[in-house]
Amino acid sequence: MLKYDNYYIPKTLKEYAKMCNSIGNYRIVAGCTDTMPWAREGRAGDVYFKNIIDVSKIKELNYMKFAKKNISLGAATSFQDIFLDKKIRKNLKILPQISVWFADDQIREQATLGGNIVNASPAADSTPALLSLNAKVIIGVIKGDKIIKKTLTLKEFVRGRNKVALGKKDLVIGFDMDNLNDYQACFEKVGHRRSLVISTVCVACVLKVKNNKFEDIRISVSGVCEIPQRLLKVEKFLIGKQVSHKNIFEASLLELNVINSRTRKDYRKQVLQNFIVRSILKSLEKNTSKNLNLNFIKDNLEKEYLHVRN
Amino acid sequence: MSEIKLNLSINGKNIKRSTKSHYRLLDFLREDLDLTGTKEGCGAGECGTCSVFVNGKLIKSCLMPVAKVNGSKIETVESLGTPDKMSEVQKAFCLTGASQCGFCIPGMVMAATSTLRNNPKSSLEEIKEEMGGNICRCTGYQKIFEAVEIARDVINKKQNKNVFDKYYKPENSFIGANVKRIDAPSKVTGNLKYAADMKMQNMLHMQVLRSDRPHAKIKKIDLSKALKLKGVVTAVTSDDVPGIDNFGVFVEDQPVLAKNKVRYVGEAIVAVAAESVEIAKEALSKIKIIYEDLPCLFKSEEALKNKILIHEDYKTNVVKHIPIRKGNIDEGFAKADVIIEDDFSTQPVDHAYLEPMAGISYVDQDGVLTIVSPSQNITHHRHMMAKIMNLPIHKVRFIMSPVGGGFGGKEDMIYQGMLALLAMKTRLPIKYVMSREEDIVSTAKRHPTKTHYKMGLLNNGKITAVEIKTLSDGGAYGCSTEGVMRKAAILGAGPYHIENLKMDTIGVYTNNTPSGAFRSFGALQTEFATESMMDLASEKLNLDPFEIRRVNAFKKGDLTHTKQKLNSASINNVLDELEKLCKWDKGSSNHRGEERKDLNSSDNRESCTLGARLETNRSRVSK
Repeated sequence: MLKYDNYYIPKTLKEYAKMCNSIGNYRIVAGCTDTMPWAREGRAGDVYFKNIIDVSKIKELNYMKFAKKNISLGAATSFQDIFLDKKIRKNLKILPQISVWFADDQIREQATLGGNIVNASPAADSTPALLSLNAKVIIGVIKGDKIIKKTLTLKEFVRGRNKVALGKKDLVIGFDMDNLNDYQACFEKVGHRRSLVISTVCVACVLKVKNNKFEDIRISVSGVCEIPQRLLKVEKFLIGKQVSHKNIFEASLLELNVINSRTRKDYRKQVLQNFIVRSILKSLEKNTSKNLNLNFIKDNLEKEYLHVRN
Repeated sequence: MSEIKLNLSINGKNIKRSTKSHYRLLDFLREDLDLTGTKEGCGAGECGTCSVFVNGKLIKSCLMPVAKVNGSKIETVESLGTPDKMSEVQKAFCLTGASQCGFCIPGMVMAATSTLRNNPKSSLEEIKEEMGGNICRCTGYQKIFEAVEIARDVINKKQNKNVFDKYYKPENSFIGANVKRIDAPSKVTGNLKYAADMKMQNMLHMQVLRSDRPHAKIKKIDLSKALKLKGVVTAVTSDDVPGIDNFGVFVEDQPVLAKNKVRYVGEAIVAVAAESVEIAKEALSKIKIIYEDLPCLFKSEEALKNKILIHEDYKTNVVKHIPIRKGNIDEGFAKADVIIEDDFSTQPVDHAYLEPMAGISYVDQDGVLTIVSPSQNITHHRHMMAKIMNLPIHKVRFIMSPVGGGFGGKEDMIYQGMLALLAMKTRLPIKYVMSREEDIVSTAKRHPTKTHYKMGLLNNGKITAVEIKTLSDGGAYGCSTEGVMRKAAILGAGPYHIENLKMDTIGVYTNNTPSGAFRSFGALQTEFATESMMDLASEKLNLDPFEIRRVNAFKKGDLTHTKQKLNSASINNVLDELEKLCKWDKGSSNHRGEERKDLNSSDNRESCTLGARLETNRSRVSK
């Protein structure tokens, strides 16, 4: 049971800064969808805080900005908003795909993008997606009454299992990411239950093909290592190369040693390889270029390497 | 305890009042406003029994601090309809019988309503997707989805409203008739009161201190600090039991509260009664127990050695051994063309009924101890309780509250004894509601088993002999182990005529969570082994799985494993019908390639598919 005496809901960053300077013993929450189940038997048990500060209504954390090259999302953006927003679907194809796998409609209404990143779970869904989008984290550092904005890369921000580069009073304001409207994307995830599933393995892939060659590709993984990460060797291998079954298959083998889980390593290895291949193929499916003979690639992959069709 | 002032709209009414600041929206609705149609199944956002609308968006009220929704517009299931004036969705749920135990149903009705509000023309896939956050344990979802589709069609005027009156009236037989469920309206509207929904005047709340040791002597229980806490009324331990402190379905080996020692993690030691759940919980943290750890038994094979005894009085860990002998297996195996041998194991399983254990006890005006709980076995519980409380039987009454799913899990008397002790001691009503976690830790599970199987067959698939030995982990107490061993032995070798059979089912004590009754009661574990053996044999003998079963199936006049003569047998009719309906792709179990040919046809089931259904929710994009 989570117990507290006061529940504060600041409306502005200024109000927030004032609040956390004046009250002690507080915990910051946003959507609460992780905090509430955490304060139960078998996990944290009964937890008491004098004060709770709910940052989800701070106006500076609630925004969506779309520019040609960049897109910015406030930390309090809910997963349901990410899931259902038309512009996000067009420009950040990977994010709605994360959302549909993220819990269920009801929890998505509450859960926030910032909360998911700040938790820094090794199984986080949105972290790999943001990695593939080259996202930067905008942090509000509280110094006295002042709020100083600082920008970190996601890699600098997520420091380890449940560890992020945030001071006690600091909070995440939002994220800046690449506008990838000319990219294709695919998110693959496996876990136990269709809704509310915790990732065992997940892969976020975004790519761009030109003249049958990989012009750009960014693949990130989560659920298999302490910190979600990009598969840079795979990316480097593929960029500039022909889209072929041989190249895709060879790339899929390059970085399977990223797996550092406590359990079911062999299983995860197999799934990860399949997911790398499948996320590339599924992204390619959305490519409208006529030159690309995807069936030929699939047939050859099936014939020579592995089962890739559902 | 600090309070918060709320000003919000609930079901169209403006509500201004104070409540406990740490309350979740769920607590506020249930405890302060008595809107008990919103249920608590898990408290962790997993099950959806607590779904409500906040400003038109469906959310899970167990994850929502009430302070967060101050100023909002809340709608609960109570706002959708009443039994005499139901919404289309509720009427459709009644029509298809989408309300078995009913505990998940208010949440389901809310999720269905949300789905159709978001898109009145939702496709079946969209319905499935949007209702993914709600779990039902009874219906298998089919009736629920049917109901939502009917409601959708009526709302869109594609189906006439009078569809809701179309119950088939039984003519000669009730079998196959869609009979009106008389309890459905109370369930789909959230009107029905389960034990946790009930309140009484001056009621106290019980919380239970449970063992964190699997096997230990209790050297000392210190209640002094807990009892001094303001709001704590009293506490009971094993010392407070006035009568015979042993009960159980078959073997009377279980005390109401741990007596001298604990035998599993989760065993109750102290029960506290206090003015609120919060105070009772705080009291638990102030109780001190001094244990002396004992060597533990976690493996059923080890239990057979009797080096460590779980119940010293019995001198053995074997709860029950059922041997069945028929014919002569040596001769049977000698005749066989092939002999297959294998091992099978099954795990403990929680019943996962949506309604966690709950109950209220009180002593009525005539001094009758009364227990209201969703017990599946009240008559037996009543008899046991009379002995425990040293009361004549007419001074004990059990009232069965609606059971929010049982599946056998509510057959064992797990917490009613503690409720009785506290009601008798305080003469006040006592209420107890388990959290989901507590329920999983402390209640009986399906028996985990290990089975060694040997089967002899002729080349035509006919079984010549079977030898089965199943070892079941009964956990710390007997519960239903004896009955489960009997059923496992009687039914385990399957509906097959076997001339030569040797079957042993053995249930043992260990320091694991007790195993008890669970739907199919022992037959599941052994039949899982039997049917797996049949499929292995089909591969080995290159026979169709239906064929090998037909060759062996019971026929009229056959003797069962326990030598009962059968006057009728319908297994072959069932097999014929099944084969026809599923459009079976003939051949031995391993003849198929990567794809089955008997799926995905027009009137047959689709193969299982995985994957995100992003496209199906298109209709709601950027409303």
